[in-house]
Amino acid sequence: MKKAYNFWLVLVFFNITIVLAQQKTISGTVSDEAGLPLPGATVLVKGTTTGVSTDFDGNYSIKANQGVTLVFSFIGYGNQEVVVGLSNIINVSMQEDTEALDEIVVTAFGIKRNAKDLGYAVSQIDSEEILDNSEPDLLRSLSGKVAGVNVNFSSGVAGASNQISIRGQTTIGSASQPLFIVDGIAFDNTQITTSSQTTGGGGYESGISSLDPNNIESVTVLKSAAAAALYGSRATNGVIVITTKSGSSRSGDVGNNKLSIKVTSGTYFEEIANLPEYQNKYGQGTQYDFNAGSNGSWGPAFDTLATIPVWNTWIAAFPDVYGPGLIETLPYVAQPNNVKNLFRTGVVLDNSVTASYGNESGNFSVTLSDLAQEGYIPYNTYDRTSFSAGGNFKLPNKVTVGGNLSYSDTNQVGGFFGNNQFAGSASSFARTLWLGRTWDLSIPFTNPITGGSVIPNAGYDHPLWSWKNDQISTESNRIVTNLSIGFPINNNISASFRVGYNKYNLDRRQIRHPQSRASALTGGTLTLDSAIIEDLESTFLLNFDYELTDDLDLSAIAGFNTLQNSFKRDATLGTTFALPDIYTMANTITVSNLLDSFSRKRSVGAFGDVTLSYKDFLFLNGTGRNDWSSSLPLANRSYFYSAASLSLIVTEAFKLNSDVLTFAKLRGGWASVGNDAPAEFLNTTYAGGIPFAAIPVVGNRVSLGDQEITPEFTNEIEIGADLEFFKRRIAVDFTWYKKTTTDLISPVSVPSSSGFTTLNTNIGEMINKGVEIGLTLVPVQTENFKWNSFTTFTKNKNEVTKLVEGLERIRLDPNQIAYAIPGQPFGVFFGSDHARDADGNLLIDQSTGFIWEDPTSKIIGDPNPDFKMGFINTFTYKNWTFGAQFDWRQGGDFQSISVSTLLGRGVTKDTEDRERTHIIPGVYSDANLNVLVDGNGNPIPNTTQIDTNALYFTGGGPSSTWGINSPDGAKVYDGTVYRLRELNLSYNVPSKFLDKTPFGNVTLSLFGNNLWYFAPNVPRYTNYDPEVTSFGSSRIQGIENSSAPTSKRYGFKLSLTF
Amino acid sequence: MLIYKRQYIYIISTLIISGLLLGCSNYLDVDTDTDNSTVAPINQLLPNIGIATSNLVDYNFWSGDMLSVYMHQTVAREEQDQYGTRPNNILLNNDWNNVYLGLTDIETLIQQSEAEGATVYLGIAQLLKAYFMSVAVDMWGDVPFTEATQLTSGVVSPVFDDGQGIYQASLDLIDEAKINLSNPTGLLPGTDDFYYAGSTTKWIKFANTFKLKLLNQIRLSSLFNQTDLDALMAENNFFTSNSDDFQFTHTATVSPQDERNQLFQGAYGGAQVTYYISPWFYEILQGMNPDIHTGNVDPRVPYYWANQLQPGQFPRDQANTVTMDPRADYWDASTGFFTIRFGSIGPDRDGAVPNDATFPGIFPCGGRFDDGLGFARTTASGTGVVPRRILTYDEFLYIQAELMNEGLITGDSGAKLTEAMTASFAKVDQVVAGSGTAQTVPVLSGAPIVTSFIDNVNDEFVAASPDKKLEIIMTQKWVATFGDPMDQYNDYRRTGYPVLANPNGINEYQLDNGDGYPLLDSDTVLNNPFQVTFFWPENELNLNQNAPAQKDPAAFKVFWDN
Repeated sequence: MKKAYNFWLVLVFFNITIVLAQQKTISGTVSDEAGLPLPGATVLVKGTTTGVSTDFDGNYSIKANQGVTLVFSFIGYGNQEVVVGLSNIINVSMQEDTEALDEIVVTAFGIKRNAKDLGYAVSQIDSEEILDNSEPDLLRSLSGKVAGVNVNFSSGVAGASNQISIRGQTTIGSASQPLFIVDGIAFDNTQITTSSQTTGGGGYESGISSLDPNNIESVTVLKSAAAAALYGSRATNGVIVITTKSGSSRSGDVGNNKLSIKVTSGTYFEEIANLPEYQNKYGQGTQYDFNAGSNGSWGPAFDTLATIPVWNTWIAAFPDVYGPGLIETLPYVAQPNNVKNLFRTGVVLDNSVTASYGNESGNFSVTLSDLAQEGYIPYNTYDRTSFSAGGNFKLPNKVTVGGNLSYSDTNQVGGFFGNNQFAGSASSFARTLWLGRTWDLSIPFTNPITGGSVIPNAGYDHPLWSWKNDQISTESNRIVTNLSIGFPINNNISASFRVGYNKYNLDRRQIRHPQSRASALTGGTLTLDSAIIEDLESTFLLNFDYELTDDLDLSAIAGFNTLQNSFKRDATLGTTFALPDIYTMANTITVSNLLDSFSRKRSVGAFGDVTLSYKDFLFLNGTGRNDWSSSLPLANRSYFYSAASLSLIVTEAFKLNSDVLTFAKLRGGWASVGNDAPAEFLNTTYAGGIPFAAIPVVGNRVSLGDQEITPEFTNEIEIGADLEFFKRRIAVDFTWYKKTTTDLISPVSVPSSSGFTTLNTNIGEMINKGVEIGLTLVPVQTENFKWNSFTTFTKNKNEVTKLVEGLERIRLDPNQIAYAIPGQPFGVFFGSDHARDADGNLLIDQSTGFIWEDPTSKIIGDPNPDFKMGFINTFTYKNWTFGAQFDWRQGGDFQSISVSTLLGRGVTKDTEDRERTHIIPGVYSDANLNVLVDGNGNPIPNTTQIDTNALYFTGGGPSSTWGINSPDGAKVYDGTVYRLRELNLSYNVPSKFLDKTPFGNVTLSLFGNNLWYFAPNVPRYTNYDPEVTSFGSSRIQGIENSSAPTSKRYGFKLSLTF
Repeated sequence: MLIYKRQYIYIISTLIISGLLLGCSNYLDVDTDTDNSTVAPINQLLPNIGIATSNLVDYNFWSGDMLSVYMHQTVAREEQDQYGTRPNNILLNNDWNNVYLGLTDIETLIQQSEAEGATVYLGIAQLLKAYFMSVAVDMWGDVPFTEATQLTSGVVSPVFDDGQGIYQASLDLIDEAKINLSNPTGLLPGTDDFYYAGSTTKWIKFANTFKLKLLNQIRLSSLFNQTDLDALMAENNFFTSNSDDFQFTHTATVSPQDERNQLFQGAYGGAQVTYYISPWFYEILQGMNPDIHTGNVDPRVPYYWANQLQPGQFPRDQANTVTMDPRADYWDASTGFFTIRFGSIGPDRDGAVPNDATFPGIFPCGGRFDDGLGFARTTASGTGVVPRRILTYDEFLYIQAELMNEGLITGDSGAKLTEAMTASFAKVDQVVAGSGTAQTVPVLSGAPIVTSFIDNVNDEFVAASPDKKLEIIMTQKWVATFGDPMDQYNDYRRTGYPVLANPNGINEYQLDNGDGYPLLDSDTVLNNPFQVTFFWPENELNLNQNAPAQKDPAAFKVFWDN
């Protein structure tokens, strides 16, 4: 009855004021301490629901009576109250809130929570941080910005997918991807891999690339399992909650019955980040002797030989120019820029328009964007066009209705990568980075007679010819739509229902030109691959909000969720083109089906979430959920899991009115999340094969599904603290966690003598322990100048603790050295290495001077970095902002075919000083690794000399050196790298210059990405970037096989608001 | 309050609908694989096993690449040069998978044909199981058998069994198979049988010939039993002509899968030269070897390999036309034969010579017949339509000649050798005739050069010591089985013949082009001992808890290798 009383009081008061004063229009500007306008600030007549928001210029106007109080509020700033006096103009300068964490984050299903109430770590990233760089890829933009989030880049191919994980790897069978939730609906991030990326696939994109960063309002990263319990099993690996502008209820706050329009236009240039530093002293050949058939540059020095015979391939392609009686010889000279000249400066054009409209009863927003990216690799492009529209409205009966629809279309065109040597494969990077120093690739690269490529020697396709003719083009489109209804039931209870549908459609065409090196057996191929991934999800929520006593509040949620994922994929192969230059199925001689599959998974969840808060400083949260999943055996289909967390705001609880420690919060939580299996994981059907001579064949699958698997559980403990000193001049956010995943559900490699290569089962246990630190420093803050520094520290230690009975280790890919081994971190490198004696001396083959290979495999590296740090510094001076992000990755090994080949081919300056011999330090042994001893029983030190070529290239066999044909361990390098990830400079045109223009805000920015890096432990002149990997978003990390190097990007962006 | 009531109705109905969904447990019954079959008809299982049988130790993706280098019929620059095959060799691993994944299908076929009473399918499955396991023992010595292919019963890591026991089990399986094949009931195979199109007569002939092959192979081991051999000989139901050969027929189909001969795919489809013809093999067939068949040129040469260079043509790929250095590791100017040597460390070994190198010819893989005019290799140079030979009639005759020479069966080994060589030439003619080649290829059988070649070998044989006689038999068997190196490797380990090139020996090659660039004997080295079995695949040892420690392949012998 208290509320009703107040209501009457207001009415009485209101009536009186009408008598006393005329209602008038108050207007003004809301700005921050530095005088910059604050768009979207709320102005409310105190005690009423009447209110408006400021526009992009911070201006507002509101009808109010003299004597009433206006309340100005803005997230991150303290509320200000001003009583309306005689003046019709009220300008307000807001003061930043002393508590940084007093921000609202979206946890689950659009549920907003004040971050300070939460007992677990949550990070929020604003759209500016994602958009204020020249990176078109969302995941790459997140790198280094959030402690605990690890982004592994793949390659410099435009549109290629990247791997992201939160708090380490928790699964064995696949990459531990977080769940992406966009406007409350799961957003599938599958990478459809058409051809193996080992034997010749593309730099494939993954699903998240269809999300337009321009439409992103904010990103919240829920790192903990506790935060994720409400999302169910899918959230085991953390959740990235993305709110789009069209799906947000906040964007509509902008504008006072006014349409606001924001236009951004970015133009960036893209180049190869770094090239090796080549030697230009020795040309092609062996043992200082020119050899036209050699791939290595171990031939004579350039000043010792005048000419070489013209290449036979040139004579064949251009018989009118080259050959007997025509040009018969070529000068024997270096081609210092033959690699560099293959690449181009690409251009990225990113344009976007957002229109928003909002009033008291709702908001509406539309975004239209277009991205056109040309990679540094010729013919590699990535384009994305997207449209989205949505809004939220309050109906007069207090029912809120929201909905949005977005459509995006992407198109990626790129070449083939991977290994060049497997049958039917041909990599466009087969020789690209290690071209012989004599090879002139500048003459026309297409053979006018055959249409094939023209190269000096043999064994690969001309890179430009390959990029032009052997192409993978992938078109994807995605429709996301969702609808939500919320309605209050009484003052304490409200209900909401949300249904969403997300459909991802991918169509890929892979063309192998008839003259491609990959087409020797086939006469050219066309592969069509199409996939449809659909997510249909509905959630019903009941929200309860009770003030139990003056000090104790209760809020609770009861919910029910259904989810259906469907996956359909068809692939067709056409072989041998009938007519040249026509790449259609109809133009192939034979067409065969490669794949025709459909699978579906459904799950149902019922859950509850209760939060008790005491006096705004003690918060206790508990959640529980039961899931029923279609992919588990009937008996184990239902599983329950729960979580609890506690947070205490120490400064509030103990009334510490200190000027030093201005805010302190301690938090801790425990959570458990159950997980099910992928669809059809238990499958035991037979596999039909390709008929031979038209006779149908059928056989056992190579994988066997264990029919008794149980759900997998991840249990996590985390504790943390958020501390602020000197009114946020220093803020620390610290979290420690330990995550144990038991009964891991995974396909596991078994010895094939068991009759199968793979068993789908519960295979083991894995632990992730880690520390995340976010440190904010504001060393300088004056009226005109502010230096803000933000540092993230991410350290995660993964250990596979147990594997299924009867299994010592699991190989993640039959052709790669990545394993899961108990007692070791996931993905550890295990393989062949040089043999050593008990004292660690290398064992040397007396006859060759090479090192024997140890026939027993061992652990030879760990791709997981020791830690990663990001240093983000922002300097603001009046209207100028300068920012730089510097990243440091410590450790994490990588195996590089590119580095070992650069050395083995003798093309970089590393091998330039070569006219000498070497003795590998070690002791002699026989082929069975028994150390040879002299007459006194002492080991005999190696004195066999070898030349520089042999130091990096041996012929294969049981003894070898480094570089080409060396054991796995000799190709593993430490991946420590320091990197200038981002640089930006922006200028915000002062509003006084814009008064007479239609613009509310004009910002001009300059950006640079990946402008510099240094990897101290990679052979110096190879300049190789340890971040390059070959396996995209898959679980295999740190393995590089003739991939495209990373790119750097720089350019400018203009953003305008009307 | 009316509004509130209406909203309660919404909520309650939503809850009811949700409850229905939950109660309706078949909402969750969507985990069925609708794209694949839950049954495997035996007439579709058999062809799948037939393909696996052909693939086992074939070229291209399997161990044939190593075996044929070890047997000095091809040379490679890869690790198999100098007998250096490593435990992580992917081809070796592929064959290991081939054995056991194939065995899983064979066990399914055995179970289903037993259940259905289809005795012919059962008999074939038993024979193929015996074949698979004997090959596994021949390759690796000791391998999993008694506990193999039992993952469905929970055996993740099968123990390794002794090779001798596996051989005994295989011999027993052959006997059981013969009984089943002799009493056909139930469904009968037809075109789904890629080997004998359902002919039980031929399968039984194969069973006997295969058993003879195994008995010959174990003749120096304690498992050998003269009584068994005598009984088998008395039964006298072996291959009687090359129409009985146990071989897999390839076709010209390229898509949906490439059905051409695997060696053809690897040699003619690869962009690099992966199968150099061994110069040791070349010199023996050219009559250049001073120790065997000296001066007796084998008429099969143009059927065995094809030179891209014409006789006298100067090499193109990496030759220096200024100094006239051919830059060839091994190039016979008089024939155009261009290759590399086993164990070569010469400066010209590693160049890319795809346009100069000599390629396998029409007999081993369906490549080009060498008409002496030179050619430029593409997949159009041949058809690839020649069989993958596994056990042939002429091979059977050589086995008999060996057994006669060793006194284990009665008969004239010299006459049998002549019979065998005659059959070998007939086999070349049969293969050529079936290849669909567009070239005009002369018939060998009966040609005067063939007759005189056989006569010359016969003269050499008659004059030879018993040991030299064995060498001649094994050498001719080695020549005849070009393209099927598994049994060559077995024969060599048992008998020490044929004599193989020794890179550390003195002047193992005789070639002299008379130019300023002679072959340097010091260019060839051998740093590894001969591997008498192969390494167990690293993958198996890394995954199988019950696997033994990795072996020394130079010392770990198969039980019959004495």
